[in-house]
Amino acid sequence: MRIFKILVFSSIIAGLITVKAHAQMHSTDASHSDHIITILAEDYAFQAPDVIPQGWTTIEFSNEGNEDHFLLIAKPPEGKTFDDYASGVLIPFNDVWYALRDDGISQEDAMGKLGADLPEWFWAVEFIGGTGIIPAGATTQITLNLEPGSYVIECYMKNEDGELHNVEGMMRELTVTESPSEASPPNADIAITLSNFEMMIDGDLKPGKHSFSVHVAEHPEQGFGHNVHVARVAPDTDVREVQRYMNFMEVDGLQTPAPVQFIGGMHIMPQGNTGYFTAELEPGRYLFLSEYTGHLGVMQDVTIE
Amino acid sequence: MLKKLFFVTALILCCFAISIAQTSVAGHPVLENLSSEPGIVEVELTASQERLSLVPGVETDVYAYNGRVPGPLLEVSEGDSVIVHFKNNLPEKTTVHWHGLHLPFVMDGSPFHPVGPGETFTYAFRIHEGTAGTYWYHPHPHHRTAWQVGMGLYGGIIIRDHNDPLPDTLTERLLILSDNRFDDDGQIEFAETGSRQKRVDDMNGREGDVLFVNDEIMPELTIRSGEVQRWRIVNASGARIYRLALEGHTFTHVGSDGGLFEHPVEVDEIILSNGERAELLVYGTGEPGSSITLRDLPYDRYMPMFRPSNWEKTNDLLTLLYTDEKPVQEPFEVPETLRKIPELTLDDATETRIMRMTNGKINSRTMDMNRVDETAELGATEIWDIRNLVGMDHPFHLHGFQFQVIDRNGEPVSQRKWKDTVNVPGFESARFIVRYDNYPGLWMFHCHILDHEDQGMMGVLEVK
Repeated sequence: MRIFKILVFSSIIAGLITVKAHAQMHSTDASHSDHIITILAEDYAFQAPDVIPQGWTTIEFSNEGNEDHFLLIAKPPEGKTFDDYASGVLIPFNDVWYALRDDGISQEDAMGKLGADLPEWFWAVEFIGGTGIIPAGATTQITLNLEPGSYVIECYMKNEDGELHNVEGMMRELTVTESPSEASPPNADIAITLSNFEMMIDGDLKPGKHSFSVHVAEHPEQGFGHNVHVARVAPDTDVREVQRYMNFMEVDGLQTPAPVQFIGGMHIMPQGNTGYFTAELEPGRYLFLSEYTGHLGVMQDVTIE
Repeated sequence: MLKKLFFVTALILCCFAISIAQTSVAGHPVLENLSSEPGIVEVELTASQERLSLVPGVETDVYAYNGRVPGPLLEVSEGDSVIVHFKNNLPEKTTVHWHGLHLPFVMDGSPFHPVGPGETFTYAFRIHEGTAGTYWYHPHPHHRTAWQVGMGLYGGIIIRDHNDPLPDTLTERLLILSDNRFDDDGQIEFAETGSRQKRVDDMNGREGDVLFVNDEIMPELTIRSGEVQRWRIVNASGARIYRLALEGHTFTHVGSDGGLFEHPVEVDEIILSNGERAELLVYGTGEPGSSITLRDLPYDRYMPMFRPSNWEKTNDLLTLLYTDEKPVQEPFEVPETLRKIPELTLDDATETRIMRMTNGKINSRTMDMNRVDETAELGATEIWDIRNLVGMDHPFHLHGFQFQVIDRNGEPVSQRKWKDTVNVPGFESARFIVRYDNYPGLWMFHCHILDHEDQGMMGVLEVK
């Protein structure tokens, strides 16, 4: 049970390094009906606001770097700080990554090592959502309902040297205050439901810009979480190769350059939560793929006519 | 006859004593001025491999200027013309960068002008009025600066003001701070490529566990009770940032990179990042016969995941011994106004340049000697907005032009001062204003953690 959870969260945490973001930032003492912030990713940092109000929050996420990036939002348990997260969680993941990369240990051994090295409180970390992978120069939007608290944003992809982006600096604190926001969730024209062994997509997948809702109906019994990365692929792309690339524990997994073109998605959320993302589809073949559970059937292979 | 002989001997001894005294300033040997012409300072400087005793009882292979670590002091005055005949006797190319000085591009000793092994170069430049202060020199070859400075190439510079508001009766000390790491054989240790330590050094910058003040470990300096001393401090460490405090004493902070402040400031401690300098007045408020310690207090400049386990350790740097003499009865009072610093006004600024610093990169780019990153007009006044996007400190250094920090994280700074290096802590920002006077050329800007600079956290500003 724990091993599975480790695998899930290993990718998550591996992404702990943050980027610094600079964004438009609402004051924290007023309510907002258009709660939009901007987070910029670059190699390897985020520009983001430090403090935002609670509630439905649209994050416009732009990749201004030269490599693929995503945004994952993690909420450490009460009493644990950004510093605790960076030092207590990221170091074990980085050590395991080095053991995989440099010492050639097996993924099973890596998970065992993680289980031994991670602090107990790690299992109480909540992953609140985030964007799917987007390439350099791309922008995507996600909308999440954020509760007050202290969060960590990060990207755990790997650079060409095989170093984790979060370890390189792509990790940052985000504080959500109790100041209210009256913003509402967007209207989605495509609904994605994530459940064990299945990804349901409802709606008319046609060329053009779409607003997707993503609902996590259930977590896997053995602790895997689900997310959605959307990738445009060639007609002859082997899905297993993309699944393999999505595995952080593969030596070239999540490493620049990506073998396919990602266009966004929604990162891991708690069971029962719903988030939103936008993506523009062109005619062609797309994979909607869960990073950790895609190989267990939580994926869709669709062709847009 | 005997009387005459005695007189001549005394005269010779006196001259010899004066000669000895003149070769040491602020506790440092001085580069000998070969010129007898007023206003000309002409010196010889050679970089070479040497074997010196840095740590007592052990001989270490080093790089040295004129056979010393640190190199001898360059002492000049405002208005002087300086000629440095430099010889590179190292087995690799190098440069001599005159950190903080306002001089022509070709004389800056930047990576654009390497001096090959066995080659010579004559640096010639003029010392501008208003630039009196504490500076330093060090090599700046692309990708090799951390190595060469770590091997021992650095030295101090004092520029004097003929009308210095502080009297020359104050005992003056130049404290060049550095740190280093040694292997079991006493040789300077650099991490092996691919090692865990190399990864840490690449991220934090290479820190040493042996701390030097000039050429000594924990030297003993003296002060008389009631005396006031003028300390000039240079951070020549490749990566260590110092948080300096003198137990039971305050400092009067009177100057920084580009010389004296407008007004002195009373402080309990100062933070000195890589490449920065500070001028302090130390008041001997202790009792005769007592002693105190200059300490480097813990300073967290690190990414949380790379923070050394001993980062909270306080390091002792030197002992200040009070002499047994009775206290000085007429204490010195520092002037309320030290000098007037011309204001660079925001209204004159024609451009704001945003520098986003991430680990190893500026604006998502690494250094390319064939690329110009920023272009500006000679004489223009501009604002630089330095944003540190990651969780560790990055000290930002601009070559060629002194600037004035105008705010930090949007908060105005307390007083105007000339700077060439500004430390920007993790996730913070600082803005400065600068005017590109006199000298066109390709000017480097970079993080002064030398390992970061070598990794390419550096760019080129073309002024034309």
